[in-house]
Amino acid sequence: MKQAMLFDIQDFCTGDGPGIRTTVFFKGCNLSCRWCHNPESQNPTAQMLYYRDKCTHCGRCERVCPNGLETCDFCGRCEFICPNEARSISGKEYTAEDVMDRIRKDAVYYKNSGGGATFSGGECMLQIDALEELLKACKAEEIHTAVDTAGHVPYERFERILPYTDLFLYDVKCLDSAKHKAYTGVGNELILDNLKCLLAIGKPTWVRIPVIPTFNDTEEEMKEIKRFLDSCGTPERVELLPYHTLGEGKYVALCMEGTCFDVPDEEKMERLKMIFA
Amino acid sequence: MTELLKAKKSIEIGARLLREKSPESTMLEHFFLRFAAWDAVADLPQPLQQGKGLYYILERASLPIEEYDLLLGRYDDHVPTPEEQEKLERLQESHKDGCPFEGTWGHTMFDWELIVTDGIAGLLRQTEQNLQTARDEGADPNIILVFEGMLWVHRAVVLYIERYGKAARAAGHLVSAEVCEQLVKGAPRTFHEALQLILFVYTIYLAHIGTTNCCLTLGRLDNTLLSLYENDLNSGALTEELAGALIDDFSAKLSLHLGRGEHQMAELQADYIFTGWQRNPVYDSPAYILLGGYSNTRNHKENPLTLLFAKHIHPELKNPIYICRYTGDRHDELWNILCEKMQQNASLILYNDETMIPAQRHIGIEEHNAINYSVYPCNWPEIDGGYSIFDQCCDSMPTILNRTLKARSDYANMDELFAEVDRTFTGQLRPTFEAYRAQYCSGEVAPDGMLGIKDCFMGGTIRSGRRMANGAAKYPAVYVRLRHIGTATDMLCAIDTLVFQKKICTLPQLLEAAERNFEGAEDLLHYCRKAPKYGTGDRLADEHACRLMNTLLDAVDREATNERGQRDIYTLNAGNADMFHIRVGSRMGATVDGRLAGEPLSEHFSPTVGYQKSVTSMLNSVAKLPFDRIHSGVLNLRLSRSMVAGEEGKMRLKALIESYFDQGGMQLQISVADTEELRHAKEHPEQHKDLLVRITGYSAVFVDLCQRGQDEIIRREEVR
Repeated sequence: MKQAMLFDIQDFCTGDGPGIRTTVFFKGCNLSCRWCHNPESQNPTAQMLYYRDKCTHCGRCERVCPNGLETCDFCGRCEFICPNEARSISGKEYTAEDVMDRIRKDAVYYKNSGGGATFSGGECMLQIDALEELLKACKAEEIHTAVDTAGHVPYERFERILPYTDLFLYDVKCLDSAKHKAYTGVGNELILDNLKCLLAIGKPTWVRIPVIPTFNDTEEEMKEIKRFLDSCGTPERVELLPYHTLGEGKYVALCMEGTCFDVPDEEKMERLKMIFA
Repeated sequence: MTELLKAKKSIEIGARLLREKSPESTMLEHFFLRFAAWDAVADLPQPLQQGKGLYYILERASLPIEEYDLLLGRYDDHVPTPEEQEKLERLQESHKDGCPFEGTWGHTMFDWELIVTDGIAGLLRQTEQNLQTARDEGADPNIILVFEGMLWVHRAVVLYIERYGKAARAAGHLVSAEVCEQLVKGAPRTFHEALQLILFVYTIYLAHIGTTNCCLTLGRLDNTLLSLYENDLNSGALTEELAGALIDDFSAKLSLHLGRGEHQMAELQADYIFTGWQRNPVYDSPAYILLGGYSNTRNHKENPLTLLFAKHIHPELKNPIYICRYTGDRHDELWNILCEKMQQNASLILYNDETMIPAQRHIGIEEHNAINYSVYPCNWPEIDGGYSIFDQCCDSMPTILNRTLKARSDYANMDELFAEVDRTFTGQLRPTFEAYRAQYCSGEVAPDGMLGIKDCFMGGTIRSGRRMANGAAKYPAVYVRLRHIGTATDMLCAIDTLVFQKKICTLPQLLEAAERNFEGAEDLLHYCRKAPKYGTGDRLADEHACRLMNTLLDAVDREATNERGQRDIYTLNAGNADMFHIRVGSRMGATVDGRLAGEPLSEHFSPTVGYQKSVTSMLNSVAKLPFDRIHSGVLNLRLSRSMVAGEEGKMRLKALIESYFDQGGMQLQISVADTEELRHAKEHPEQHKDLLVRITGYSAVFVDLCQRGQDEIIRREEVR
């Protein structure tokens, strides 16, 4: 039984593939996108999020902590006792069976909506053994599977899960590798190569492009991505995901430095979407 | 003007009235005639007061007709002049001690099948014959009195129709005049005549008899009217288009009485918006029409009238409320239409035949009656065509638990606690059921001879001269209210988790903390709130919810069975809370689940607000309840507009509902409204007059709700 380090499992997701889905969020990512709205997803180990603005310094957490708050072993006592949810542990190890229990609960909704399970992150492909086991388990129960990936892993990992993956949700950020590296920490060669391979074999793929003002929110940028996609195959769908600010509070809670961008307006989003229509 | 244009205008005006009727308007004639009739019949025995009083009213009632009317059935409703207002107040003052008439509180249903088959003229003839026979045979004087009163009621209805027919002829509405003439002499022969008769009876009940919330279920009209509809189509007397226009006008007429505002929450505090229902308590009375579902006579997928009614559901109206019966073998075309109507936030409530019929069978209702189960406003259960009587018992479930915890607090485990819940509940139930047994099952003729209006439109009563509550009901039924399962389950989870599993405190300590409203026990309060909660998909909470419900239902089944082992009390087990979750909660101290004193309890079958994890978790938990033993109750779901928008939204909506019902869910009612939209409407009511929301079993214009009512709707968790 492979343990998966996850930071969340969400029911009733309607934006991560077709139908009603349960999305499993793996912890740990080999990119560090500046706009990442789940910064807790980047570190592959458990972390404590501490929301200073919610803390009333009542001292309950210190009283229940067996080791001292600075040497946290993620026992969860402080999280449980805090009345204001100022402390929150991100990251927990799950067995495949634990995860499948959660996924199974909504099997009837998948059946009725054409939905299923989506494995996301972080980068779920970094925990390929656990991912493969979960995908196999889903397919054994005839549950539709989607893998949401940034694609920065060796193609061999794709090959391992291809038989059990019905759909890839594949992030493309920009085509300029230097810029890609500046904003995500890595170049995009491997990512684009892998996408080419997936499209070449006709694997159902939804390409998802985060729209980040000052980074890639121009028509030229989108047209360039469109040309690239046209050259390497036909993704089933191209989705543009507007930048949002919902993750900002988490950067503070993790003592991480985040970058703020403007939120693209609806008009711009509609215009950019038309490029892929 | 063509029939279609007339129907369109009727709907437009019906929708506009709902939003624009002056709060000062009222059915003045209703009050004036009622007071005068009262003076005229005060010395008579009650059945004759009922009958002759109604005759007095219908002999004089005004008979308004509009040029665009396809169906007749209007009544006075206007803003009184200062003189009229003064007269009204004077009469109200001089008649404040009561009224001999029905004084109906509505929530009822007549035998529409009988009314349509025999016509009011037929009922009148039957009553005349039965009265004569009773006199000839020297029957009990109370029975003769009941027949006499009933006869006057039937005469009054015939008179009203006759008068309306003449008025129609005078106004040049010749088709309507002919319809009335037929209804005066015999049974309806066409779809149009039948629909008109139903509307006449409804109008009389609502505008001339009813006093408060006289909401009425009109039954399974798609079944009742089917053969007439098909005959008319075959003979060429009717087209689908014309039938649709008649249904539209019918729906609009059912909305005429509606005022603005909402009756249940306004009385809670003085923040209500003056919307007019306070002047006229029928202003907030919904009419229910059942649609679809299994049938005794026809494969339900082959009923074209079901589809026609569904197509003519108008989301802009808050009346009628359609009770749409869902079947596991989905009628795809119907289901698609209904989902589109729900996307548009129509006044529509879903019930699942797959649990409702077994639940009726469970208490001994014969299959053909169970298949015809019905529902009263506001989501109260009913047996086929109104065969039951109205009585109700039991406290809220948190009250039952509080009583159990007050009895003793030295339980060693949850098994002991549940055993005491059983004892406590049984102790409450037994004397109540014994009283029902004596009242409803003795077979003796009651000496008072009281006649209710429902009695005049039920086959059993017309045949026997005995009231529904005194031997005429096939199934003497009582409602057993099982309210606030969410709070009750959360209480059990807190006890189980904190006292027995984690041993954080003893039960007396927990009870003492709750008694003090958790003052000085903030840590304990916090632990209580972190204990597992109903409706979150938590296994422990699901188990406790089912165990509690089954414990109570087992006691009900046991006590409803007589010494000979036969079930003689038909218990309709209902999870309806109306707005009692706020009312009861406002008077209840803190509970061990971490709910503070005065806070609302959980609503109907919904979880406690604030703990929900996802809509699927919630639906999964609720669906685990033993709905094959429960006959009604509400699950409110508020969906965001984006969640149901477009084809994908319809797919999601369908899948959510289908999945809930496939897992054994019983009922669902949906409001489509965003939280931000509701907040904006609260601040800028003038911009949101069209925003309807589902309340306990009816719809309300959101901006006409009192502030607390608006807050309550906003508080409902939004599914995005």
